Amino acid sequence: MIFPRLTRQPIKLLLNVAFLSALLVNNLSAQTVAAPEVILLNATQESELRLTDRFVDHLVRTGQLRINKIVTDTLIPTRQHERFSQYHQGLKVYGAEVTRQTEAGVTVSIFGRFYQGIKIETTPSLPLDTIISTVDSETQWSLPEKKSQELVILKNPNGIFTLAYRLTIASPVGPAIQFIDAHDGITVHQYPGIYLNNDGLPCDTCRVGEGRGVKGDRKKISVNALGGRFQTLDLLRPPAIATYDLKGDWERLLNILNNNELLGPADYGQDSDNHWTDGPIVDGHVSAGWTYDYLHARFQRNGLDGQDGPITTIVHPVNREDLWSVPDHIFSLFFLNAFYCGVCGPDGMVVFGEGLPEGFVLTETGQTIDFFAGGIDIVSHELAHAITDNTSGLIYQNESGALNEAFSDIIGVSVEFFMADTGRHPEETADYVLGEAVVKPNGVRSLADPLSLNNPDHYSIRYQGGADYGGVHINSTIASHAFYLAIEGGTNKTSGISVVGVGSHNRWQIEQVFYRAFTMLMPANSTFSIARKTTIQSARDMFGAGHTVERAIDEAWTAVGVK
Amino acid sequence: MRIIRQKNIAIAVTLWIFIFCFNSSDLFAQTVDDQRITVGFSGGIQFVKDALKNEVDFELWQETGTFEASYNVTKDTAFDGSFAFLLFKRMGLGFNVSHFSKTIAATIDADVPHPFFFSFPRKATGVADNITRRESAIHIQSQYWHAVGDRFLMRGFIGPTIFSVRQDLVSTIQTKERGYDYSAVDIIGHNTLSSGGTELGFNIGFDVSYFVFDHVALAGILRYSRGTSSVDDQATLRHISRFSGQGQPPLELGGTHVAAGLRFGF
Repeated sequence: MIFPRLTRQPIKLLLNVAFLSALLVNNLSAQTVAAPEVILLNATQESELRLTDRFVDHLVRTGQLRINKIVTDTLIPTRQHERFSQYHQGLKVYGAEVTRQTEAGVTVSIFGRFYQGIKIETTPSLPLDTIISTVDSETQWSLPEKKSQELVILKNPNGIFTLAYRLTIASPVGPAIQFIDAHDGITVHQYPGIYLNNDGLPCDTCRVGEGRGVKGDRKKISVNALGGRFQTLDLLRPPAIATYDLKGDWERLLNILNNNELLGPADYGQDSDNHWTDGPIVDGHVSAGWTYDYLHARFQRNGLDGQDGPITTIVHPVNREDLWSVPDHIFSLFFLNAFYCGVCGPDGMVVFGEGLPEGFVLTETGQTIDFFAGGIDIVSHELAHAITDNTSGLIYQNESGALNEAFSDIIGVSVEFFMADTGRHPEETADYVLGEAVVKPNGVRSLADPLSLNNPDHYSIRYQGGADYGGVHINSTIASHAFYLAIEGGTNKTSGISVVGVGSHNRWQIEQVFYRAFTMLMPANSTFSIARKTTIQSARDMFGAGHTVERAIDEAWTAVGVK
Repeated sequence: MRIIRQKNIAIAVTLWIFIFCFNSSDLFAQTVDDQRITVGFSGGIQFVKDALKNEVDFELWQETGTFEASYNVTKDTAFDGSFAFLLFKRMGLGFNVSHFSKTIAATIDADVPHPFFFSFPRKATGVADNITRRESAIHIQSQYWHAVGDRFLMRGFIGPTIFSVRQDLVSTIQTKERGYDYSAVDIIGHNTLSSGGTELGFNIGFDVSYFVFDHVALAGILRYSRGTSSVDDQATLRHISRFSGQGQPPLELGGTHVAAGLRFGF
């Protein structure tokens, strides 16, 4: 059955939601000034490093760069990664970051972008209280109290800098990050606090149950026993992995997402005999655990935040029977999407949409949509957004946003391969298509053949419009296709350039190299070009210069037209 | 099992008849032929070769796991007591009671289910100490007595043996997870059950006595006995899923018994 003409146009509606459509940069205020000089930092050779290193040290000494984070490399334990943020007159320049890799105090690589010659008045005309009260009255939603507001310098796509307040605001469809001009109160930039999958025994009470997923496949499920019942709280893994069943109460879920209400123990998925039959609960909970297992096994990473912080997922945000009665934006968000919200709850959370009832298909594509929790690649994709959030913080717009999405797709398919290839879940059919188990036929995006699902496979045909936050989903396939080519090899359809991949038996090499580049080497405002450079540097770091891994990655980026 | 038992009986009866039929000579011992009855006891070694394995299925983490316990029973000390009397010409009838006990350590190899994944078992190994095999036997012997010189009495014998055996079997194991990522698990304990029964076999061998006094002799005995015992009774199989490996079930009973002791002749 196909949607009647008068029903909603799914998926695309999401972009029409009021707060999301306001993402474009609005009128610039009078206080903005012309674009300063951009200094690209890309040093990997000894001759470049000496000078660049000295330059970075100078910027640190003068307070123009401030250390933001120091992390130890989990894949090369002798290496450290410093992440610097640019500051101008004490204010953070949003997204301007430099990463420096060192070993025993010796610099190995430096990547980043630094803006020189910023001239901007850094005293706001409007106090924060005024901004907050204005936002409050406009949205009629209270601001989450726990998220700090900060005054930043924001650069728009035209290179113009603006003094803006960065706020986390509540909205009818979940929290959002908003930048408000500190002089005239106009919203100059906004992005969602949620990352959408757009387009589409260590304890006495630990128990292992058995359940059937959405596809009917049998799985073990790690749960907690309490009062004669079992709840979807996994305490067998180092982080507490909790899956909450909202039972279709989307109004309450909105309150939870906007931090006006907390999830409680009564919200856990529940079962009386530990033989679980609710597919979305089983898959959502189990796949979150499997994603943790993959990250730990492949990258020695301790969870999403690297410190085994809690992992929270939510299923059944709506009831399928309410298909016709919910507002349009709820339909788009909770029926036809899965998303990660980093500013929701104490530790962020992932929400898996309910999909469409049987017999319904998307009008435009003729595809059916099943429970989003039923796709392990979708679950992993969303959780990977949390990793990005906690590491490189790739800004969710334009090329950095496309890299953000590409990394999630890469992790999504990699988890699938990991589960299938290592025998942990042989029933899993691994492939390079994202969401094929949920969105049928064809899935959401193809890393192997992006053109088949109308995504670009080459930089020259990238989407350059403003929709989709500058094509974050659309253009993600340029990078993820490079990942695919580096593993499997093949010929790029647009350029005709062939790549000799490392082979599927060596996929771990490319996975580790990309993971390391995306989480440790890339600055927040990375471009495809920086992605190329950092992945090549990562390959050199791990396998040595001239290794087949470096060659495969180099060829892959060339094939997709990224220089 | 029944076929093996009948075979043992047939062998023993046939040999007994053979000795009676073909050893009716009227030769008697010269110096020691006054001896009509002997009583004795001896201690020595019983050479046993039995490699039993049993497998047990168990439920853990919503899945069936398996462990295999291997028991390698070899030689150990054995004791026996004997009574024999001359029956007809050189033919005699003897009764011999022996006891063999061996305590061994069984090795355990387990496939332990993973808490997160089906059909993704972890290998674990362990040792179960104090596994005991206790074997008592009554050897009924048709004997052929032959005196050599004034002091030596040699007796060949053959006959059926009634074995009574108890064998400890590992029936359960206790495991302990080492923690995330649960790729390793340890076996930290086990329980055993004792299984066995009474079975018929045969024995054959000879006994040499050297009379240092008129009625007291130093003696040596070499005896080979063999029997088989099933341990796959229903009571055992409630705990043991199956037996595997070389020659099981049944248990291989008896073996080569070499001992020295005293004989008293009357």
